Amino acid sequence: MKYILEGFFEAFKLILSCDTEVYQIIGFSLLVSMTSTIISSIIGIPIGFFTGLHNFKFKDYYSRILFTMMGLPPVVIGLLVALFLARRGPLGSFQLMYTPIAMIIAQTILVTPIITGNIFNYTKEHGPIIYEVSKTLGCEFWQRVIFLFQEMRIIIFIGMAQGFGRAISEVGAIMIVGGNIKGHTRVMTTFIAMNNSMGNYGISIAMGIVLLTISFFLNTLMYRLIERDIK
Amino acid sequence: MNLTICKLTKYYNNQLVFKNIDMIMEAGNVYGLKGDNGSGKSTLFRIIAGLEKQTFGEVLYNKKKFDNTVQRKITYMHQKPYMMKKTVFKNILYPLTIRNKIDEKDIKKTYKIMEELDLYKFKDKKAWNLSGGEMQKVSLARAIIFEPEILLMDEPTAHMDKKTVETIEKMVIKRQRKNKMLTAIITHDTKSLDRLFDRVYYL
Repeated sequence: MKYILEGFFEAFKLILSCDTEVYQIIGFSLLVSMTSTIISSIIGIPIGFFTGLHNFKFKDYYSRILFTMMGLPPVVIGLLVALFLARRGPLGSFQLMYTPIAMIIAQTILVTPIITGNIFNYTKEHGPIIYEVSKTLGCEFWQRVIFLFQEMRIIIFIGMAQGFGRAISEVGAIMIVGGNIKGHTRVMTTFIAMNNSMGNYGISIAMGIVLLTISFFLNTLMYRLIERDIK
Repeated sequence: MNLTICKLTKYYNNQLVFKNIDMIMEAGNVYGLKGDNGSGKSTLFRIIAGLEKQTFGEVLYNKKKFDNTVQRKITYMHQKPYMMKKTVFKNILYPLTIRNKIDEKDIKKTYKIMEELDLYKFKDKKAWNLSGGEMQKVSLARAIIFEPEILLMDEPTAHMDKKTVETIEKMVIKRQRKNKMLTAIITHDTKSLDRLFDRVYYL
């Protein structure tokens, strides 16, 4: 028990000491996860809208595959991306393995189904009425698209927040494709995993606290927005 | 202005909803549409509003086929009103904001319509927090604020109290006289809205 308490004490000391390496890792983690969330949103939101609004053959199968992909294990994604990006892989000539780009690619693959699935699910239920109302009020095509975005802004934000939460907290994919290289591809989760295996609990706890704080702020923001739209 | 429906037929997954419907509706009149459940009343309105495609037949506006400009002159009020994630005032103003730049005249017009429908006291309230009757009134205000030529109402008074029905009736009559709007209403309620109709069609 004593070493856990000592770990917490050390953690707070580290956070308050403005350690450059710690803050660099936090900044880099946020950058990678935010970039992949933005790319995933650009891909996932329109796909979610389109597939949710339209009826097509095999829609049932599509939704089953999509929901399965929402829970894909990060290590599997890391492995797949690594197979493609490795020197002998089909995209090996780009030399992307163990770079931040490889990490962004892996996280984008991880996050896109989460955002698409959220949007698809909500659009399937509520999209048709929203779309019809916009049409009967006289909206042109682009006005209808904006109308959909406005009416579904909360679910879009929830999807993005969930995606970001998944990206920032995963360790498997980025460990495989990023390699946890100091000053280059090291992020909060790989840093925690590495220090834990080395017995440096204090610094691991410090990073864990930062991760939890980010998650807390994200959830608070999400809750506030939902509350504002409900009450 | 007139709306002509020629030999309109609708199938859903090879199942017949209605067949060879012919109707002529003219501006300045209120039409009632009645029929059993599942007879296709709402489907007919949805086809006129451009929300669904017919299997066969035509809907003509002044004897011409519908285009985008005509579609913007038609509005359809759903049976269960959908309230946008905005205040009552912004919900009602919305159709004007997508048509032109809002000026003082539009704001006054919105306030006036809200007063007429007894909605002014809710102007800053979030529309989705209103009661069913109030939402239906917001839906009506939002539908008529841009002065459509054709107003289609799908059971607007279902489960409404007497006062709300009277307010909606008054508003329809007023618009009818002022704008010479073509109004078509689906109703099961034989007592309340019947006196509004110039003609009733049965499906």
